Order: sequence, then structure tokens, then C-alpha cells
Amino acid sequence: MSALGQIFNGSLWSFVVLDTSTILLAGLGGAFTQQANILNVALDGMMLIGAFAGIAVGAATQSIALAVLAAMGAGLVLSLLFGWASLWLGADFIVAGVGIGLLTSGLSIFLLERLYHNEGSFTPFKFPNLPAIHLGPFVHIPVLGPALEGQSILVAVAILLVPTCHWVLYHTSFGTHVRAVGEDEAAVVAAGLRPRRIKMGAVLISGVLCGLAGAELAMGTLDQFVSGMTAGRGFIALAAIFVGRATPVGTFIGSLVFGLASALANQLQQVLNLPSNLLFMVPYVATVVVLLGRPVLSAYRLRRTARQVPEALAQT
Amino acid sequence: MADQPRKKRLVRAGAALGAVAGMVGALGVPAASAAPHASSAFKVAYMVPGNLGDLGFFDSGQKGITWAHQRLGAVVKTVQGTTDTSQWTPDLKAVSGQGYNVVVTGSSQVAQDLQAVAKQFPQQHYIMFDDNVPAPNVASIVYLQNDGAFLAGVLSALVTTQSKHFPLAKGSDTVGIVGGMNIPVIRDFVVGFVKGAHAVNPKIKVLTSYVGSFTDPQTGYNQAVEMYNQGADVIFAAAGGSGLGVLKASAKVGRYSIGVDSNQNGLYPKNILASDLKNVDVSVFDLLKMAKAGTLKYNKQYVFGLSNNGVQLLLNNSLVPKFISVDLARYASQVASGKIAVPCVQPYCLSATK
Repeated sequence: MSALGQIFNGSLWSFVVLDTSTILLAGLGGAFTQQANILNVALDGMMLIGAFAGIAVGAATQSIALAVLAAMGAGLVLSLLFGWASLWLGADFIVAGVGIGLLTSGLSIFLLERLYHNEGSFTPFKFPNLPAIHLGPFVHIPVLGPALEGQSILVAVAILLVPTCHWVLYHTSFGTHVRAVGEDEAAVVAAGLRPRRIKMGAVLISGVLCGLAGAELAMGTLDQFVSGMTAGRGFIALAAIFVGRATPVGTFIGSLVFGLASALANQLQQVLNLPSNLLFMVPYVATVVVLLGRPVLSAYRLRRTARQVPEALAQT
Repeated sequence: MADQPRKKRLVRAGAALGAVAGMVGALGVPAASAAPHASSAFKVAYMVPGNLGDLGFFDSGQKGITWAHQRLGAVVKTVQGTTDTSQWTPDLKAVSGQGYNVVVTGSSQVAQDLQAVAKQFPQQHYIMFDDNVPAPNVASIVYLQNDGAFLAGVLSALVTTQSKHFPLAKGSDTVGIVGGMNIPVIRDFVVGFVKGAHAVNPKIKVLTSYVGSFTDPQTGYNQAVEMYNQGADVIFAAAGGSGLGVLKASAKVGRYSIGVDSNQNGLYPKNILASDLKNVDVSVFDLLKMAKAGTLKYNKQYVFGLSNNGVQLLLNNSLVPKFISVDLARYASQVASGKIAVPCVQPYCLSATK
């Protein structure tokens, strides 16, 4: 098998889907807050607590439905705290978000130690499985078939949430309000709406979706909680939001870039023996390129038109 | 001026979040046991920078302390510093200068605290395990991780070459190691592991990858699944928390793995062959014995490896047949006798203290 064939084999695409889905779930949540002009650095913390709550409740009740609900609930509670501190008490969003991050990492370690007497991790002896996607005859579709077969149901949820979030943001009055409050808060007040409530709505949605992202991370394949297991995925989701200009479809593409980059980094390391420290840069270099690329491109376009104008003037 | 109430609210919000975090921290209080009495007795305090009950590192240290109590007649006291790192320096100070002949502590996380406290209590003697603290009143214990990894490599190679005794192995002559980060201490594991595999059969293919983090089990899982796809029969997880994803992958794919640092054999008992452990108990007890006899040298680093029983591979006996463990012991003795030299990565190239 050629090296290229070894890299782009069936399992690569399933890793891409796996890596993309968690980033996408958190990213879609963050897209709502970003549209409401809130830079949500609490994504990572809300994911982490979702992961913990999911594993703890799943292990205690042996019910996967309750585990997922607990993950979403934990994300919701934290987003409530985040929204209350920033929207009602007037804390800076970044400060409150960083606070949430510190709180969740400390709280999860504290609970691990109190409940399971191990501050590093918790691996339940028995854990209920998330339902898996089975494509039946469609498994033979190239790339997509093997990529999706056997993935957890939350992967399907993540994908279906892309058009759903698009619809909510662009085809409902709530979505219009969220975008309006992000564009011009004064206009929203003038229209007789309450910007704080609208923003809170966006924050709560981000909490629930981050809880789902944590559930997928902890229960999609691992069925365990490890302290700090988000490993910065919430911040990568934030980057994906920027790459995608906070639209659901754009965030999806941004998440895909990261999913592809990290899956490729793993594969290249093993197949080509490239230095791992170099490969770990790939996702981040990709972000910088995309984020820098856009303004550079538009600046270039601007300059070109600017240069053309005098010529046109000279002709007249 | 309009900014004023906003600022106030900001402070209030910050205080609220801070209060919650503070409460979380304050709930972890140190626990104590058996206070020292008779002033002539050999007295030892053990400051755990964390909690007992980890089924590994700190529990192993406690075992060494218990042996000192039983076999040396030492009066012992254990203080659990909990995971609140800000408590470690006060906890260390609390047991320093209190009449203990030796204060024992360990793990690299507490090294800086000890460095500072040892300077403030120059008359107090300390034993520090799993990191080197250079100070005139501290005796340090370090372990040769490449020796432990060597044994893991031997076991992996024995499994893939004698696959008929291991139902989940394919006999692919391929094994793997997933490291946490590409840093010297982990590379020291890798070279030891590769040497172990090649000591059994030089033709064995050893796959290597690094997660890039010690707390990313998902990436550990993905890398391990990819290794199993490439045929690996056994993967050694030298990756801290990320390694838990590697162990999970072995259970999911249905192959074998080897854990590290604590006894992980019970996590997936059908898949985890063994755990690579530091014998904290043996090393702490050995140094306490010397301390009591007055032969312990301070400002010295005591190195524990295969030759002085400082590392071990704790086997999952339901998976590993007896004759394999006999084979393993044979390779271990060859390292101890110097017949096999296990390679190392600087600055971890040390030879075991005689």
C-alpha cells in the first residue's frame, strides 16, 4: 500500500468525523453567543462539566438517556451562572468565561476526588452505550459510509444541528433578535425588546450544546472521565467559529478543518514518522492561515480597485 | 461616571465566582493519623501531596511507611495534602521542625514546595521520591523509567511472538507505544520499550506516536485504534490521562495493552496485560532503613531500577501465563547483571545506586 493510501484509508475519515463532531457541537453553541456579540470563552469549561456529569450520572443510573440529559443540564447550569454573572451582574464576558473555566477544572477534580477517590480520572466498571449509527446498505458509499458507520448517535445530532441552527438563526424571530442584539443593541431596545433576555437565550443554548459536546467526548468512544479531557477543544471550537464567521455552516466548515487537521496529524505521525511536535502545529497553523488569509485577501482586492480608479479617471 | 455601577457589579460578580471557587478549595482539609510520642523513637512523617487511595503511587509510599513502622519500629504519621496545591507548603512546614527524624514526600509536583521549605528548616531531614531536590538536607529517590519500559517491551514482544497463548493477539510481530508528549522523560520510556521488544526479537516492528498532551484520552484512543489497525498486538500507554484512551481502545478493538504509574489491570481485565510501576514502597523503606542506621547521605540522588527492585511490571495473572513471567524475570536479571544495557535519553541516563 502506498503511503498516501495508508494515510487516506477508511479509518482516517472516521477519526475526522469523531474529532469534528465534538468541536462542531461546542462551536454551534458558541455561534449563537458570537452572533449576540458575546465572546464565549466558557465553551471549554461547559464541555468539561458536561463530560463529568454525563459519566457520573451514567455510571450511577446505568441510563444513557439520563447521562446525556445530565450533561446538557450541567452545561445549562454553568451557562446560567455565566449569563447571570456577565449579563445581570455586569462582569466582563472574558473574565466570567475564564472564571467558568477555572471553576470547572477545579470542581471536576474536587468531585472526582470526593466521589471516586482519584483526582485523575474515573473509568466506570460498567457504562451504558450510546446508540450507534448503522447505515445498512448505505455503508458502501465511499468515504461517508465507513466514516459514519458505528459512530455514536450524537454525531448524527451534531450534523443535523447545522441546518437546525441555521434555520433558528435566519428563519425565526428569536434568531433575528439574537443577530439584531449583536449588530446594534440600541436598535433592539428601540424596537421594544429586552436585549438581556435575548442574550441570555443565546448563552443558555451554548450551555446545552457544550454539554452535548462534553457528552460526545466522554461517551462517544471513551466511557470515562479524565480531568482536563477537553484538552482545549472548546477553544478550538472558538477558532472554528471565527473561521466560519459565526454562521452554522461556516462553523461546520471550520470544525471540519480542525477535525481533518488533527486526524491527519495522528496519521502522518505513524505512517510517515514525521516529527510529532511539528504536526501538532497543523490545526493551529491552519487557523492562523484562514484568519489572516481573509483580511489579506480583501486588502489586496481593495488595493487593486484603488489602483484602477486613477487610471479610469485619467481616461475621462 | 456612567461606568461606576458597572464596575461595582463586575466586582460583585467576580467575588461571587471567587467565593464558589474558594469554597471548593476550602473543603479539602488535611487528614492526620497517629501523632508522635516517645522522644527517643525513630519518628517519620509522610506528607502526601495529594490523597491516599490512588491504588498506586502514594499508596505505595504509604506501604513503605507502614513497613518502617512494622520492621524498624518507627513512629509514623501521615498528612494528606489533598489536591489543593496551595496547601502543600503549609502542610510541609507543619511537619518540619516538629521532632521527626525524617519527613517523606514525593512526586515532581511538590518539588518546588520542598525546595523552599527545606531551606527554611536546615536541621530537618527529608526524603523526596520521584524527583531530585538538590539540598543539603534532602535525600532524593529517582526511578529508571526506561528499565520499566524495557520490561513492558519484553512482555509485548513475547505476546506477539507467542500469540497462541494470547487469544486476542494476531501474531503480527508488531507492537506499539503511545507517549504523552515528545519530551525527554517520555522518550526515555520509548527507547527502553523498543530495546525490550528487540531484545526478544530484533525483527519486531515497534510503532510509536505521541498524543501531545497528558490529558487527551480521545486522541490517545484514536492513535491506539490506528496502531491496532496497522496490526499492533500490544500497545504500551505511557501517556498519563491520555493513556486511559489507549487502554479503552484495546478493550474496544479487542487486543492488548499495558498500563503505567498505577495498577490499571482491573480497568479492562480482558485486555490489560500488566501495569508498569515504580516500587515507591521498596525505595522509601530502603532509605528509611539507612536513615535509622545513620548511613543515609543527604544532598544525594538514590537511583532505583531493575537491579535494586525499584521498578516492576505488575502482571494481570489471568492473562499472562506463568512461563511468560519466568521469561520476564530472566530478562530483568540480565538487565540487573549488566548483560543487557537499556538505552536512555538525557538527562535521565543514570545508573542504579548500589
